[in-house]
Amino acid sequence: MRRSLGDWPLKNRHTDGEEWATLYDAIAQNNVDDFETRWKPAMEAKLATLKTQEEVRKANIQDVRWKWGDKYRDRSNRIDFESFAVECGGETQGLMFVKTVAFSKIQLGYSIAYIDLVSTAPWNRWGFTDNPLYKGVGPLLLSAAVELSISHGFDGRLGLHALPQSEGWYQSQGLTEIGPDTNYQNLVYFEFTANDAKAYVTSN
Amino acid sequence: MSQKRTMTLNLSDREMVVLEHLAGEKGLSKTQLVRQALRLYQSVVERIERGDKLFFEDADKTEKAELMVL
Repeated sequence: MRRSLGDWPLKNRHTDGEEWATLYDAIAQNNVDDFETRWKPAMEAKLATLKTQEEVRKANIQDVRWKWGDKYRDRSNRIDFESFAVECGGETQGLMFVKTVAFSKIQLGYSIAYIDLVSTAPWNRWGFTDNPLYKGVGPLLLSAAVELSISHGFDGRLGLHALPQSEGWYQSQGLTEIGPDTNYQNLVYFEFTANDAKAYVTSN
Repeated sequence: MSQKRTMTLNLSDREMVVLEHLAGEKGLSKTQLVRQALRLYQSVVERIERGDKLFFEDADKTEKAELMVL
């Protein structure tokens, strides 16, 4: 049974007001349903209008083929993965899987939480739309991953491979850029050190 | 992150020395270390049962050795 980890304000860019979002300590079927019936059709409809690879890249929908439903089912009994969901305005606004069996590339031999998959709903993304809805889903999920790392005794240490369109955002959040990972489709690998993580949760 | 349950764990002296050493070195409590070891074991077993192999590669990537998990 999943639990609420609390309510957090997201900025609604359309109204310029704040709305309360609930962060959950696990993805549930309703979140997977939202992905399949709301996120994916929106991304596929956008994809159908795009003509060039450059347009596809700029549309910020590289996760259109991610299989959240399969991951949700396959990982339901796994203790080496944790998942999180953000709901606001009656819909899923963010999803994340974190692997808790991984090791730091900075501090060899030390465990980290590794963000395996993370997405905000497409209507919250620049590129997908010129008028994104909610601001703050990414920092909320990143903070949740740091808190998970702390609760597991990893001192907030965290790692992830960034999709190309997300590299700048992770740099802006203060993660240390390790560089392209030849073992992982050359995606750029980032880490939060314990000190980075401490600074991040303090400032958020 | 569900509700926790308590159990008694019996370890030999040598096992306890290793547990205390690793926990101290990695800044984990003994409970956190045992829980992490369980996660690691499930993670490895899941891959092995899929038919995957587990390798360690040395730092300069010249040697790769399969880790046997029985």
